[in-house]
Amino acid sequence: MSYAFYVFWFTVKQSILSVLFTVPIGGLIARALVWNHTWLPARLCLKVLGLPFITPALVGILGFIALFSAFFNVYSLSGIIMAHVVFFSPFVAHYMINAWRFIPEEHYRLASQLHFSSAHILYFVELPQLRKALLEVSWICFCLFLNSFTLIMVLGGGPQKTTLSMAIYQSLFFFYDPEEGFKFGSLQFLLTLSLIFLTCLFKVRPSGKSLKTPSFPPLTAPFQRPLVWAALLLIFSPIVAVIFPSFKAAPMALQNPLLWQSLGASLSTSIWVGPLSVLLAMALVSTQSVFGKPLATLYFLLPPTLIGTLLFFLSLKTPYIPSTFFLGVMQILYILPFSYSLLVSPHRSVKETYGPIALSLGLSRLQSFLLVEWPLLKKPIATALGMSCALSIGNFASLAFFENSGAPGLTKLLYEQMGRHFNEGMVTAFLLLIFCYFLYQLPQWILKTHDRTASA
Amino acid sequence: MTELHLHNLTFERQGFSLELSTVLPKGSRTLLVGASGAGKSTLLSLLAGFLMPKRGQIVWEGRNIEDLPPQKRPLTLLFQDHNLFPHLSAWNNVALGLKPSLKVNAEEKDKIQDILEKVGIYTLRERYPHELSGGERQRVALARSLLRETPLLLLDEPLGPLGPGLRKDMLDLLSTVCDEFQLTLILTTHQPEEAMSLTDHMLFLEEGKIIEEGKPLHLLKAPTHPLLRAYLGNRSV
Repeated sequence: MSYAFYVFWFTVKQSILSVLFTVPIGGLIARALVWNHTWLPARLCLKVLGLPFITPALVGILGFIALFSAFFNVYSLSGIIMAHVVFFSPFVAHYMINAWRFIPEEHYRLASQLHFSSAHILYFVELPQLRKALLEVSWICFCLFLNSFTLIMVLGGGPQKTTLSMAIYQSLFFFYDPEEGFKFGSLQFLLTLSLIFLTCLFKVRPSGKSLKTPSFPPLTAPFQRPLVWAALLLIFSPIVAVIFPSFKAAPMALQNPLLWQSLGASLSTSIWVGPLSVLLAMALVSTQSVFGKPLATLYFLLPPTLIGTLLFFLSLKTPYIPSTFFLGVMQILYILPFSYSLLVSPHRSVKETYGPIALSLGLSRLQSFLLVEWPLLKKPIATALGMSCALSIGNFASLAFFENSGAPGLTKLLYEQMGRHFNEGMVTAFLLLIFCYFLYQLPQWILKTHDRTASA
Repeated sequence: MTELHLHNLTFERQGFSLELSTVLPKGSRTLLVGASGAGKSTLLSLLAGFLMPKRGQIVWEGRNIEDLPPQKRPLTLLFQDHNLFPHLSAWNNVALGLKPSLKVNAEEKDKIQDILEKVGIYTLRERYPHELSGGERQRVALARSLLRETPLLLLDEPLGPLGPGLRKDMLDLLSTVCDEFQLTLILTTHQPEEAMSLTDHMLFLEEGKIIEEGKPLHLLKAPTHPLLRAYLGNRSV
């Protein structure tokens, strides 16, 4: 078996196995949350379900290693699968809960009148309505796991546990073999093309809608409440595993000037990458560009290494352009689909509801934006801005490909510390976490947003 | 005690409160009338066990049922929509009333066939809900509720999705099955004049309270209460 084929096979194998574990667990968590949506721990869980999404992957992985390395070898296939379960089952739960809204409340009432058991409800009421969403989320997860970079870089690697993404990176940056990198890059390009083709064929169109829970009366079934507790543990434990040990190492680690230089470097990138991503997303949304719809699917289809490799080869041909530029472009390409997804639905709804009134009043494009769109879209814009800045500061793949100006950047520093200075790494991770959440909240504080679209 | 007795039934939620007492004799057919938000559907949900009262009692044939789960109450509630599972045929939707596993024996099959014939949709038994008209879907749901053999039948706006001709057919069918199965019926509607012939008792609700109670013909023909007059507008018969 050739090495390229082995790498390809391992990439697909780890993705399939991860999907097989992540989707059922995420689905069960979603069901437990929906059924117990009035129970306080479930309400808390529903509120923090998006937390792993803005938590930098590297911080989560560090927490994961700190938690589980005492129990089994996390640097293995099972470690990769388990990490995927920990980080992505909340995403699956989030996706599935939104699909639950399409089950009519009456069906649950009917089920209770007809004395359905929990299994009957699953079979007759839920699965028929959720089948499509389950297949969709399985496909999205499969693509995300195929393109996993940060997680495989830390937990995988080596000839036995290398995915296509890693093989490209290793060829370019460890073995300095651009030809080999190009070979793997081409293979990944073909794989990405096939994924795009299949996504179009299956008509997978993920929605960027915010989480809404159904309103039917709470139901009970065995093991559901422990599942809610398990979900909370899943979300918080990697974060907590980073926070507490960092207090001990903080006095020394905080004296390291490289830490502050890296923080400065990361912030200086995120403060222009975040707003620019949102501006571009707004432009795409308001012009109803033809690129918009496919863009929303790119977050799970486009591997960061493919973007990185293309930009890397481009940077070799254009040495006069600073690497910070390519770093920013790579981050924008990564963030843009998320910003777009967050803005497209609210913008469409405002446009459909108030567009005709604005038109009949003879408002100019600018007047319409200032008087109608801005007040009603302030909240989603602030969320998109916060999310973009947080994703930028927490992004590792771009820093792995391109040097930041002056200092490595927080995620790169953290990656370097994970090998030799684990405790210092905890402090870096905690600092990264603080700034990530701070940047996420900051636009919402500045713009003092509250949801006006709901009452409008 | 062959009656449905609602004693100080109280429910409160988000600025809305319902508080009422009444007695409905066994076999009676009650028309529940009121503007949107008056508490008609809330009352049906309380009776069916989908909402829990803050206090008060629901007594059926001398037995308190307000603490029973929906499946143990002696009633079936039919909704205006979504009474059927879209991925099951009419036959299977009805069979669910007997066994959620759908594993029915020969005797049960005969029973299902009988009911489907009674409501006039036996020939449509293999069709899926999206292949049936609004009236046919209501008949399938009615067949299932009859199969459950619960003595109380609650209908939330059963005539809502139907055209004028189908509404008359549905009322005739309801009248027939109520007689044959000796059902106690409670139904809500926004067309009280149409359901007048089917029912023998009427409750007019406003803001969760019973404002008027009596014979439908009498109340609808000569409404005395100003709120009922305002509700009926120029529709009084």
